[in-house]
Amino acid sequence: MSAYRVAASADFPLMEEMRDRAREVRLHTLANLDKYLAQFASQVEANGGQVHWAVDGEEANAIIRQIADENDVRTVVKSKSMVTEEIELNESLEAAGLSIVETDLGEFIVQLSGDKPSHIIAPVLHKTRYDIGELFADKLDRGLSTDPAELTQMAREHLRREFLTADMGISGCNLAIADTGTVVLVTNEGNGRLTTTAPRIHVTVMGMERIVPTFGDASAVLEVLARAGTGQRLSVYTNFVSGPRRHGDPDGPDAFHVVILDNGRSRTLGGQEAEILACIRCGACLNICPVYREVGGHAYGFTYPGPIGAVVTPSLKGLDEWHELPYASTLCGACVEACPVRIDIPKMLLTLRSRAATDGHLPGWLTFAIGRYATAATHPRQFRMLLKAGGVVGSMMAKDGWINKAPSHGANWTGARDLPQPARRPFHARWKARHGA
Amino acid sequence: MQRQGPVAVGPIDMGFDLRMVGPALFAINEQYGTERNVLDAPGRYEFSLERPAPLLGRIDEVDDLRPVLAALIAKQWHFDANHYLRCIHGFIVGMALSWFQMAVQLFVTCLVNSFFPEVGEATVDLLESAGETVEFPADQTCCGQPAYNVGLRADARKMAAHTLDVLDATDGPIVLPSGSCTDMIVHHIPELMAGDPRRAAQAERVAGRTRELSQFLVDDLGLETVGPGCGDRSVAYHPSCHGLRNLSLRTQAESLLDHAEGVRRVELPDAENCCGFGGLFSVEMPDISVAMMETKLKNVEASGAAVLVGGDVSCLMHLGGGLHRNGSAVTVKHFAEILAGRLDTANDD
Amino acid sequence: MPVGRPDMERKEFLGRVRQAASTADLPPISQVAPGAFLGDLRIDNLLDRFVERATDVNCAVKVIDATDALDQTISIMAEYGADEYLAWADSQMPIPGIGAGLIANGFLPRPFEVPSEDRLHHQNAYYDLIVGITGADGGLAESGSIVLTHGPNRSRMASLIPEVHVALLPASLIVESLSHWAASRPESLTRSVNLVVISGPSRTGDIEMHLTQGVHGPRHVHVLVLGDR
Repeated sequence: MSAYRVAASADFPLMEEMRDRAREVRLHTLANLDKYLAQFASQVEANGGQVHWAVDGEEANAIIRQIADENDVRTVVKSKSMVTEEIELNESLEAAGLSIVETDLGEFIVQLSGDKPSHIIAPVLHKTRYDIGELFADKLDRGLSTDPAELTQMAREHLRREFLTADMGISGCNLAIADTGTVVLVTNEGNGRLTTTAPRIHVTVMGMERIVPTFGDASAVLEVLARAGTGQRLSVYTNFVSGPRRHGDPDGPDAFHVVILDNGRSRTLGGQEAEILACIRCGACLNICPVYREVGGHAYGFTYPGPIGAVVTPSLKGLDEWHELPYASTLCGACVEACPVRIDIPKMLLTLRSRAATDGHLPGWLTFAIGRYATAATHPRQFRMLLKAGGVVGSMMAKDGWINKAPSHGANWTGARDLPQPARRPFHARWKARHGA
Repeated sequence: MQRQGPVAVGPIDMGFDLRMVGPALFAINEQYGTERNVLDAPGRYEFSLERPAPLLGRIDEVDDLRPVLAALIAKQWHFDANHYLRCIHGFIVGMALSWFQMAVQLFVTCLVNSFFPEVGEATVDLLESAGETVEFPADQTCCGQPAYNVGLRADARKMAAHTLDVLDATDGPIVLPSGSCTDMIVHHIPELMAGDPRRAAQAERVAGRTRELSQFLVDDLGLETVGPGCGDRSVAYHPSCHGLRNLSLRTQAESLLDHAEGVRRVELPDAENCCGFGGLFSVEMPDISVAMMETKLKNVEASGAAVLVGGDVSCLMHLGGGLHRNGSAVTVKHFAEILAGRLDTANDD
Repeated sequence: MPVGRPDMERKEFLGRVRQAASTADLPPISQVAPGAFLGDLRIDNLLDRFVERATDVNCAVKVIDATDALDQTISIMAEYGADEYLAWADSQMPIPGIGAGLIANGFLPRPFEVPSEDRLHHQNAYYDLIVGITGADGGLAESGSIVLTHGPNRSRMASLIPEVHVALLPASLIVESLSHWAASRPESLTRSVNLVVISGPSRTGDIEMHLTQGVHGPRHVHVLVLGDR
């Protein structure tokens, strides 16, 4: 994936300028978010759509249940939307007796298997064709195959029926455009188009930060989004939906609803991690993160995995429950390099860590050890003695210059690595011996 | 003040040609007239060192070098007596300019101080090879990065303040054999001190003088090669993350290695991938840390290098610990050790 | 749940956002004037670049004379063994007479109107469609994309449901990029409630990163570019 991504950017001479521009657009919008949301809402309504304001997930789910109820909705098709996973919309609608079908192939597979997605862009990276073949044979009653093309065809045929007969289509929103009341949906499969064309009601659930001022601004963001996330110049389908079908339109939904969701975003906006709201969920940081590559998406415990999740999750849901996530990083900075809008994730991991420490979430031994070290480091003579002591203790524990079993928390190091012996003559002692001061 | 052709200044025991000094510096004197002592002319002077390698230096305003000159003359210098008589004036100026003003402050870092002092010694060797005088502010301890990265900002601020006081009491470039500590001083300490105007100004001053070793040698001094190099060795270079991404460090050390005597540098596959150390991450999330280490070590093996080289002993300690545990024949060195030819120093001297 | 007082909700919601934005710890940015950013994207030959990039994303692209459009379309129908098609009305095509010509040659057009009161019946009839034929309102050279705006007599389903999508694109409508389109046609989002930028056939890599074409949208996209080089 990453070699292709680099290639697709190499032939776009404007990439770096566009990233700067996309970043400025997003940050400018966040700084004026209320103004652009107000403008967006007015335009949607002028186009014949309806806007709903949801403070949290519970409220959003209730709104959508009510829309379904008022419109005799029984069956729902969904195109991929992380924000609907964040608020657990499917569970809420199913509890109300609705039938929900995920239509993004990966999400469809996840839904069929009762699993959870492991990657923003590639939800079933963790499943093999054999897993999927067995799943389809079991659940779709179409015979066993393990050929990806055949499996895709099975899914296509099955889901087509669902699209064409469903009462309501629910989509996310990659970007909203304020001055025209437009919702932009980006997909490769075409399920975004079908979800928002075939059913009579279209509901978009939108994180309130996913907005830009104009079509031109959306273009700047779209031109870097696909390149960063998947190495494509543009995704296959970039849909611009601005309302229900107008009088005279041959097809399209009769009603268009936008549910604008806060769910902790305003609190994040008011704080030190405001910049994280510039994220456009392209997945580039996941592709490049060496920690994510080792642990996979499920280890992050919530909707948003990888570097973005390590900031978003504690920001939206609080550090009390999620204080470990910001520490699941070496601060290597590869994510900033990959991010199409240059979000400074390491900076925010550090501000989150600082608050985690202040809130008392660090283990006692660590706080104590660092405190002692800081005292030594502000008293040079103590510091020099500490180094000398380290050299003595080290030489007692070491064999041929290496320590292979350290006590207490040091065992976390020596479990799989040796530790070099601290020098018996630290640098400052050698310097003093040579230069006398 | 124009530079008048090549001007050779520097330590005589490096064998540079003193005959070059006279005509050039006398030309400087002529510009000011024989009545005027060039030392009275404030301003910036530029000069270059032809041997052992080109060195461009810049002196800031000079108030009174006379006490310094006296001290310098008291030292024993070997030079050509004939030319000495002609060049004494210019020579003294040159010596004073190069030696007094250009001393480099070595901030050796707590890890090098405590675990890898030989890296500090190699660093001193290289800086001296480059014609620098090295000073070691004795009260230096730790820049505060370990506390900062973990979130204990009050502790970090204490250590940073101490570091600033120690370094601010000196002049001249501050050089570190570590990308991550340089990043801390240049970028994060100023952020930490933002709320205190006096400290913030101090942090800016110190940050402006602080350079990582390869950055200093290549970007500032313009050196292509430095130090004697080592016997025939194949090396792979690991560009540590903080230096790579926050200070654009990579090509400097690679170029020094490429031009070093006896060194054959091979490419490390996926070199830019993090090694998994990450400070306390290495003991807080040991499984992930070790998994990332194993990925990096597989790439080291694939490179075929006999020595893994880097610019941050933190990464090297982690990777070296893994290599040693795995019984690998691959050794681990800081690039300063390779360039200075210090390959066989034991950890404990 | 308070879903019956929208104005109050809006005011409170936006009030909270305004408050947050005022204390937001955002990095400094230079003054940004909203709008398209064109940079210095210079493409010598828009048509050549379009053909190259559209081919790159697996469109079958042909540059033809407008007078050959009907023959080319018929030949594509034959290629896929299709007797029927779903298309934009003749009046919406870039050249006249495509629909009339297809009918004259024995092909059967499907009705493109999906009345709201009889939606399911009409849409289900599209299930087995093989070919859809549309015009295109623009081409983007940089990404090899076509731009379709929808409205009266312009079915969305025609470029979405069938296995094969045939798009007739006048060469003169090719611009450099999406940003250029947005800059030159800002009204396109207000004149139409639905605009789509299509960059190749429908695809997925969800199963073991294996690239498969034709998931929910068309499996094949034929772009007939009309006009001179």
